[in-house]
Amino acid sequence: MSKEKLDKIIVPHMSMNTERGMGIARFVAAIFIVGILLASPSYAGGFENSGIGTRANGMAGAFRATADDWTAAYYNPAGYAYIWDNQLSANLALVHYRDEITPDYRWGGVYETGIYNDRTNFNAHEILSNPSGGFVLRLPIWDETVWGLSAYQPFDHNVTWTMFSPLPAYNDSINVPADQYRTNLDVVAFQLTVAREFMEEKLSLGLGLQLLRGDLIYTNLFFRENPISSNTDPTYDIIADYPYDRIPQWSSNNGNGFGFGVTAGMLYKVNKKLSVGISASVPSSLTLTGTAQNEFYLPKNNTLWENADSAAIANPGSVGQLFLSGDKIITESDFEAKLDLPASVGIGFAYQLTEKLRVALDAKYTLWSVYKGLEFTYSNTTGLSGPADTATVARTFFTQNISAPVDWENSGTVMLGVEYKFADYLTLFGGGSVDQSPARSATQFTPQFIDNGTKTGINFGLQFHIERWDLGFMSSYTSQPDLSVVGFDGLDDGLVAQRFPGDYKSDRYESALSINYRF
Amino acid sequence: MLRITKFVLLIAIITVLVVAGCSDRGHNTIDTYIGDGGRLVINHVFFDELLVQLNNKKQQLFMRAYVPNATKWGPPPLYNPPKPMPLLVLLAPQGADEFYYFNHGLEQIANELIESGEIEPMVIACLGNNPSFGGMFWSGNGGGSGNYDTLIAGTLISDYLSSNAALPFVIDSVSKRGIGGIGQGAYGAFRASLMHDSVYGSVSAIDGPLDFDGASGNSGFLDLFDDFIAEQSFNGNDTVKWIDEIDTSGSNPFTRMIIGASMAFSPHDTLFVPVFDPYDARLVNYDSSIFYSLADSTTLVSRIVGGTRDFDFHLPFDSTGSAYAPIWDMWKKNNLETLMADSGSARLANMKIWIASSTDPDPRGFNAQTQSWVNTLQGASINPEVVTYQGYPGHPAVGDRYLSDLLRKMLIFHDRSFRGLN
Repeated sequence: MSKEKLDKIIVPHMSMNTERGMGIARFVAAIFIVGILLASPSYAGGFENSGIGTRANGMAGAFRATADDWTAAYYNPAGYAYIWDNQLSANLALVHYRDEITPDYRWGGVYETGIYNDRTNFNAHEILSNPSGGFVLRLPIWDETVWGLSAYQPFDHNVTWTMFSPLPAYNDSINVPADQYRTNLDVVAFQLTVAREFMEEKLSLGLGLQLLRGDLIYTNLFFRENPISSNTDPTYDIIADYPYDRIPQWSSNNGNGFGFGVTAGMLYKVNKKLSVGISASVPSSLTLTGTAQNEFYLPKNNTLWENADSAAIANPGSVGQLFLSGDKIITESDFEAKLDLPASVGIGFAYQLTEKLRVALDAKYTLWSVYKGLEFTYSNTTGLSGPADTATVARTFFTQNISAPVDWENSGTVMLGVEYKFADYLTLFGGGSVDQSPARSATQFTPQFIDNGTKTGINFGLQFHIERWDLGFMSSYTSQPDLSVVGFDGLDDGLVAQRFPGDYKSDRYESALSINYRF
Repeated sequence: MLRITKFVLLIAIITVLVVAGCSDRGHNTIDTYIGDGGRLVINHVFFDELLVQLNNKKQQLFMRAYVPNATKWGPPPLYNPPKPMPLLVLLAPQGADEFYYFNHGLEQIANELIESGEIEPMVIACLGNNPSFGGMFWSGNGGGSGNYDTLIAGTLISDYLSSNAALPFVIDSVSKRGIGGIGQGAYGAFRASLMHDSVYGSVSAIDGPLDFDGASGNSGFLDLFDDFIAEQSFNGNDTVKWIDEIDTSGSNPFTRMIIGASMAFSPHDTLFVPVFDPYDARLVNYDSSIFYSLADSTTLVSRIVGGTRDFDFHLPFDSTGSAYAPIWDMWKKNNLETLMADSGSARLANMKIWIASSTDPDPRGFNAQTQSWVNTLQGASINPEVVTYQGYPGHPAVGDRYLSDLLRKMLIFHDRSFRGLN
């Protein structure tokens, strides 16, 4: 290693020998506390994670042309080539989705469905933790190529809603689980990163090979057409009538799967002040498998079946009586679903404005159009007995596959970040972003993926440098525009997650802590 | 090291504050407790009114009452009687029995509304229609159709439901008493309200035959006569078969409806004097010396019920489906518009009125008849509370669709009337 490069191995230490320094640090900390408490939300489009690391995320993700810590694995692997010391890092992000839905979920805009209409519903209160970490090693292999191993979540989404109980006129004695509309989607990338310079102090290239692990918990409520209808017995007319015309089905699907991905980047230093980074990521589709529990809440009307003319309804054990019994039918199945992950490409510029101040501007384009939603294929269904099992109309009804399609578009993000080396023991950063929603004109909009429109984010962060340690903190707020979703889509097919009409509001908060050890 | 600790502590404090700042906004679960309202059997024999009604050998009116706080199968305990409550009488439509409104969720809806405080407890008596031809429009003054005209707003209330015999917890007050129905029940509710003064304080109706000749005077039932002919597959040239071989099975709803109305509005036997067998009070005959019948054989149907003089009736149209004026005029005398002209509008003007009508096409034309009746009322300076409703794609609001939703509104209307809020 050349002396110049050795000189770049910076092991900052905290110069805490001045009262002035500590006073400023306290002031900055206080400003941050106030800012965080007053702030509202950082979050990326679709179900993509908002970012990795306190420093990069504190700069709103404008990090592709900087990329000089372990998080370059995510932003631009080529940055590893300019990390001159070994690093071991850990990061913990705390995310809070603060969403609201005021549903207008009525058949024909009039008839109550059991959804909690005309009242503000909040998503379940959760502070989500999102750990990540990695290490970077400069090994004397292949001209001191830099190697890294990291684990982080490029995709993450977690929201849960309770917004339904059956109409008492439909069934007055049945309980529905609280996680009625839920997505808990985690895609973790275990990434081996390798990077090296190809033009000294000018150009580096990096490559990341990813093993992707996807975990999904997806629940939804479907309102299925009652299959018991169309008969000369007038009782059937009542069964086909509101509120018995649609049978709520709660579907909970819990599974996981593996896939592979590749990410690559280039970092080019135009001169001593300006650098350019370009990166791209191509994940594969994941095939998720797991178990599904489906619960069907059948209408309850004893007088109807007790007085029915038709033996097909009146007789205990008949399929007609089953569909008026008020029973909860619970099935368990194996499922398989495909999770298409979007590729993305980004470019970033960083400019060293002064010795202490660095500004960065990034843009990213994500090919969300490849994501078509989730389609669950069931097999090995168990839990059916009696007429629910033996009657064809019932068994067909209880074993149908379900789907949650979306019609998303590719989306772009622009990020602006600044970094200010306040002192040798403290670096401050901040930034803002504008992020298009892939669902901006989607016809299918459901509570599981709330992305109301073009989001604006504001980020702050700081990092203390204490000898070989860097302790970081960042916080971000992302504001989404209000959105009104009107009418249903795909209502006639009860097996498809419908557009969920209502007024949507959303804010997202994220705070993260990090620790980095250089050796 | 101390300084490192300070910084770690500072970050920890920031984190705690951030987490605390993300306050819990509560959960949305609605814990609904549904009360224990139940159905009471309150069938009763009305000997005078239902003496020789078709298919009713025991002269019974079949009824079920929703009673708040009752057990499923029994009345509230007498040692702890409930607070007196208002009474709502609901009349079933064509072909429906006393369970009809319960079949559409009445019990659960009432329980929910009472539990949530949207309405105060009330007793709801549900009357089953006569099974002959699906019912006879809750009309008639004797004979095979029964004498509902003295029953629904007469002895039912005066001798039974407010007599403390069946329901000792019903308030005996006009303002605390309502009547309503759908289809034939809607007609029956208005008919009873027009024929009796100060019995019910509120009346509610959902699409029914409320204007027999429609807004134009040339529609309403007149449009349905062809449906009768079509159901029977009669050839207009067959002037004998069409009144001799009528199929009244359940697959012919228009036929059954028109025959039920004919039994009530244009019976052949216009005066029936019962004579009891001196040796067996269960046997009833009639005095042929004072037996009067319509002297018109043009549309007489004499072979439906059976026998020679067993409650024959006249159809209001001829074999081509055209109105036959002598009989159609008898029907029109029972049209609500005529009844209101006869009795004066004051009876309805003193009542609270709620009418619901679908805007979706109705093959029976009941919604058009209902809207015409609304116009008639408004023309008489009576302004009912009118609710229009419709279905959604694939689920049109025809027949009694959405009754569950309308029942909720109907109960709220009557409750507000009972409490003097509308």
